[in-house]
Amino acid sequence: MELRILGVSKTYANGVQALKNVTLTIPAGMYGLLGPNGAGKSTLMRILATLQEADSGSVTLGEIDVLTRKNEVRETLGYLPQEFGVYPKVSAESLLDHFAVLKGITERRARKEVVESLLRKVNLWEVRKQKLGGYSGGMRQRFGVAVALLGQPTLMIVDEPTAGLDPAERVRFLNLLSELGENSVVLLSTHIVEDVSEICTRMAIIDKGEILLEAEPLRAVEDLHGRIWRRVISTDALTALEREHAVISTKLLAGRTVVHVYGDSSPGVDFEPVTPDLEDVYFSTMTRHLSSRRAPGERTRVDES
Amino acid sequence: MKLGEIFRFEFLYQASRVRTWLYFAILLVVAYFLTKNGIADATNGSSHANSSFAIALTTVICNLLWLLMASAVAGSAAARDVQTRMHPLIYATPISNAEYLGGRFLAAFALNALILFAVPTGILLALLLPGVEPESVGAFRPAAHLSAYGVIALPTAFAVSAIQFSLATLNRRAVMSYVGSVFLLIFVSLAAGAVINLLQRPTIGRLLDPIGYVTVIGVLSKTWTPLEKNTLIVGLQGPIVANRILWIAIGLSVLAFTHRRFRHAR
Repeated sequence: MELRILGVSKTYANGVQALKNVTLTIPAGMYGLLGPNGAGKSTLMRILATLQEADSGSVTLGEIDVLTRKNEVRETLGYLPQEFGVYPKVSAESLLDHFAVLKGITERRARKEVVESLLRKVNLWEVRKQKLGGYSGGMRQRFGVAVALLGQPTLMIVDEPTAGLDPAERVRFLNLLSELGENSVVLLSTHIVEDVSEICTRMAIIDKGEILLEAEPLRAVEDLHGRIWRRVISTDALTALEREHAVISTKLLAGRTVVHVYGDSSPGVDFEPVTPDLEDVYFSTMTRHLSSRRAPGERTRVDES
Repeated sequence: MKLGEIFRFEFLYQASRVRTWLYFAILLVVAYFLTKNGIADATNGSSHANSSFAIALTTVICNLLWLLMASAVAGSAAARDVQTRMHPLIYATPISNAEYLGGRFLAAFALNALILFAVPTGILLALLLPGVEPESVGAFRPAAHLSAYGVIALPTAFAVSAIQFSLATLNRRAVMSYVGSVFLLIFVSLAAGAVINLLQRPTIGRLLDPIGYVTVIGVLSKTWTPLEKNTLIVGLQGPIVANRILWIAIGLSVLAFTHRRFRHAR
């Protein structure tokens, strides 16, 4: 099973171009779509989840045309939207049971088992009789996870799933996803780099509707070796430094500013080399110093400054 | 199967809410007192308190009250998914528009039929509880009760629910069902009245009335003699049957239009 996205574009009625000619091939396993808020992640996720029309391009899941044969995709789709609500005046157990029927688990006994095992998995079994209106944000999120996992989907679309979860819930959730990723295509969109570095074997970085980088996280980090340099400065020296060097990120540390700079060779004696991590890959890409999508003839991974 | 599940879930969701039974209770009380009032009047020698005409009159008045009061039933069945923001979860499941809209609409219709069942219940309670003077009522005729519910109340519930449901579905807002009710009410009093009185076309005017108000109150109360009111069954007359068929057809057309226009994706 493989999800192929080919030249997908989407422009909203208000003129915002959310996706520009997006092309990705996503094999079975955990795939991270990383990008800042407003990059077009949710638009792409909604298109893949059959809830939004693309203007152009094609999407196929195995043999299924995702854009035209929507109900066939929905048979095998798990979707956790970035934002969703639930009916307030019904218990988690009875609403999950309802969703199970809609997903096609019609046999009563099988359904009862599925509902119970999922409620246990997302740690809501003890509170299954409670009305959903009384659930906290994290509990509601976990309920959404249970709905998405119904019927062992072969395509799992999860949009910013860890945003509302506490650290323990987040680990639990990422584990659940990894389990599913053994056989299914699991596409996870996030603006949190750790989500990708912890569980994804492949990733893409998206910004302003364009895919900037498609890579394996470990290899991308390796390729960046020897190109990231670090310097600690006082905050007011930042503007001057930014003018002279390819600054990719800044961080505060005990009142001082830690600057990461991209460069094929050492930018100066005040800089020390850093062992890069995925965050450096992300920021190098976001500042357009790193790309897998250069025009033909250009060298890949060149410093633009 | 999925249509049945959507129907079942929606029906139980609303049937377990206090609001639904509050509507039921209000209609029951109103129907009860209208009938008690009719019993008091009937002792003066007019038509019987349990005549088909009296029952139809009570039914029509209660339908009018229901039209304004209970619009939330269809509105909520149509728009709750969007308003609670659960719609992305529902729309990502493999259900067809026919199953989704059909299940929800049939549940709204069934709930309204249940709520309107308070009317015959209230009428019968008023007639059966002690304190009714024998000369004010005629023989018990089941047909009179059945036709009031089956020919007047149910087709009204169908057509009105269809219009309320469609407005709320296509606008994605439950409150639009109330707008539909107000529109229908104005339609009754203005359009039907204008066609009958100004254009002198009573036949057409009677057709325009979605709840049978104009026909039953406006026409039968004037033209029927007390004897006719006591003996004839309201509901089997040509103008009423034509009106009911027309509104059932309007309800079906509105539903077909909604099914065509409804889209998950935007």
